[in-house]
Amino acid sequence: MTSPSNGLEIELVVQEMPHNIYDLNDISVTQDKICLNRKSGYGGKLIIDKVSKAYQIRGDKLVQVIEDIDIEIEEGEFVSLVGPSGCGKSTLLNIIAGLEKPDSGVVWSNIRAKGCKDHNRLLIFQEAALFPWLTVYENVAYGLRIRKYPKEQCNQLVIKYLELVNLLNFKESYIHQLSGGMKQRVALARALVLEPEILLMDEPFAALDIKTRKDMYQLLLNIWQATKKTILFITHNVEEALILSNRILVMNSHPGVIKSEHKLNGQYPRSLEDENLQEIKKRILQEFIDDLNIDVEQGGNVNEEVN
Amino acid sequence: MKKLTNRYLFFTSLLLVWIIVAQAKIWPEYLFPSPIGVGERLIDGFKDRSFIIGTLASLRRIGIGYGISMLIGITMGIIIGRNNYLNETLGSLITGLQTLPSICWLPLSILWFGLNEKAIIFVILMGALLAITTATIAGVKNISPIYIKAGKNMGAKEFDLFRTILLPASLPNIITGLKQGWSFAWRALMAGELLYVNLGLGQLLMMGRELNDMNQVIAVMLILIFIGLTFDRLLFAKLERAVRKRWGYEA
Repeated sequence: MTSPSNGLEIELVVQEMPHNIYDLNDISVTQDKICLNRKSGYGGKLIIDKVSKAYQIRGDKLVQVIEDIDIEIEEGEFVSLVGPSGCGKSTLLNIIAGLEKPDSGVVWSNIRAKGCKDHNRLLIFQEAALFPWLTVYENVAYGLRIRKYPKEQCNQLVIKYLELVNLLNFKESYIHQLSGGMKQRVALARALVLEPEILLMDEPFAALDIKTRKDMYQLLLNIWQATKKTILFITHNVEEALILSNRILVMNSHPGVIKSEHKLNGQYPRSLEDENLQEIKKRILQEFIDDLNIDVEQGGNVNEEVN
Repeated sequence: MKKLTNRYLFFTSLLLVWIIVAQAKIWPEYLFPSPIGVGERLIDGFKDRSFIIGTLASLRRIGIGYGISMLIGITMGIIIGRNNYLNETLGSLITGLQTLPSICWLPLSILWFGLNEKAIIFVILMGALLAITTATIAGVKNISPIYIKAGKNMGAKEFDLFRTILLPASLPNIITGLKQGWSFAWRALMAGELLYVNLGLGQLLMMGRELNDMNQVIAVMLILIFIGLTFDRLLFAKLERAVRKRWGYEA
C-alpha cells in the first residue's frame, strides 16, 4: 500500500472500508472474563510508510531523529522495536499515536469510527502516567467518561477490565498507594477499557524489578493471546523482546532507521536458554555494538545534545 | 497534648498579666483598657447587633470580590499557563503588577466607580486576583507533560483537558494561591473600610478611634483575628492537607 499523497503531506487517512464499525453499545460482561465484541476482521493493521522526523536544537542545528521508517504490522502481531536509548523510538511511537506530526510520511491504520480518530491506538508509558488525583477506578473510567458513556455501561466495563488485571480490590485506592507493577496494570486496564485495536507500549516495564516484570510479561501475553490485539512494544531490553514478541525490529540511532528484522517462532512460553533465541540475541547485540562503533567514528554525541 | 497544655497556660497567663497591668492603672483606661471592659464591649456589640452587621457587611464584600477573582484568576491562570506567548507577555505584566500593594488600586477605583460598594469590591478583587493567577500559572507549568499526552491519547479535547487534567493537576498550587489571595484580599478590605467605607469591621474600628473607645477598638481587633484564623487555619489549611494527602505528597 502506498500513500496517494506526495509523501510530504501529513495526514492520517481514514480508510473507507465496507465493514461494520465496532458497536460500542454491545458489551456483555456475563461472558468470559475477557470478552470482546470484535465484529470485523479489520482494524488492527498498522502501516508506517516512510516516516521521517527532525528536531531543531540550539538554533539552527537540525538533527534527524528518525528517517524513512517503513514498518508493516499485521493485525494481532506482537512486534518489538529494540534500540539504544535516544534512537528515536519514542518519537516514532508518538507519531504513530498521533501526538506528534512527522515531517514526511504517513501512518496508516483503520479508524474505528469516524470522529473517533486515533483512538484505535493507545499508548502505555514507562511511568504509567496515571492521574494521582483520581482513584484507580476513576483512572480506568477516564476515557469512557470523556466519551460520555452511560454510567451503568461505564461501570460494567471498568469492573471487567479491573478484574482482568486483578485489581478489583484496589479500585478505591489512590495511585500513590500502589506499587510500580500495580500502576502498570492500571495503565493497561485504562487503555484496554477503550477497546483499542492497537497497543503502543513505550518501555512499559523498564522501571520494574525483575520479579514484577516477569509477572507483567505473563499478564501481557495472556491478554494479548485472549484479545488478539496488535502490539507495538518498544524496549531497550533485548531479552524482553525475545520473550514477548513475534518479530523484533532493531533500530539504529543517528538517524534512527530500522536496521534489521528478526522473526521468531510462535511458541509460548519461551525460555531464554533456547538456542534459537540465544542466537538471535547474539546477532542483535552485535548490531548494537556495530552501531556504537560507527557512532564513535563519526565523533557524534548528538544523542546527548538532543536530550 | 503537651503542646496544647503549654499553649493554654501561655494564653491564660497572658490574660492574667493583662488584668493585673490594667488593674494597676498605670495608664488611663482610654489608652490601656482592661480585658473585662473589652469583654463587655464585645457582648454589647453582639447584643445591639452592630458587630454582627459589621461582620456580615465585611464578609459580604470579601465574598463577592474574592469569589470573582477566584473565577477569573483560575481561568486566566490556566489559559496563560498553557500558552507560551501569553505567558511571556501577560504573565510578566501580572508579575509586575503584583508588586503593587493592593490598596494602591483604591484611588483608581474611586475615580472609576465613585465612593461606593463597587469601588471596594474592585480593590478586593485586584488584591486577590494576581496572587491566584500567578499561582495557577505556576501550577499549570509544573504539570508533567505526560498527563496531557495521556489525556489526549485517550481522546480528551482541549476543554476536557482543562476540566479533567489541567485544573485538578494544578490544584495544589491553586490552593496555595487562594490562601495567599485571601490574605491579600482581607488586608485590602480592611484598608478600604478604614479609609472611607460605610458599614463593616473597618468602619467599627475607625468609630472606636473617633469616640476614644479603646474597648471597641480592641474588641473589633479580636473579631478580625478570629475571622482571619478561622479562614486561614481551618478552611485553607484543611483543604491544603486534604489535597496533599490525596495527591500522595504526604502520608
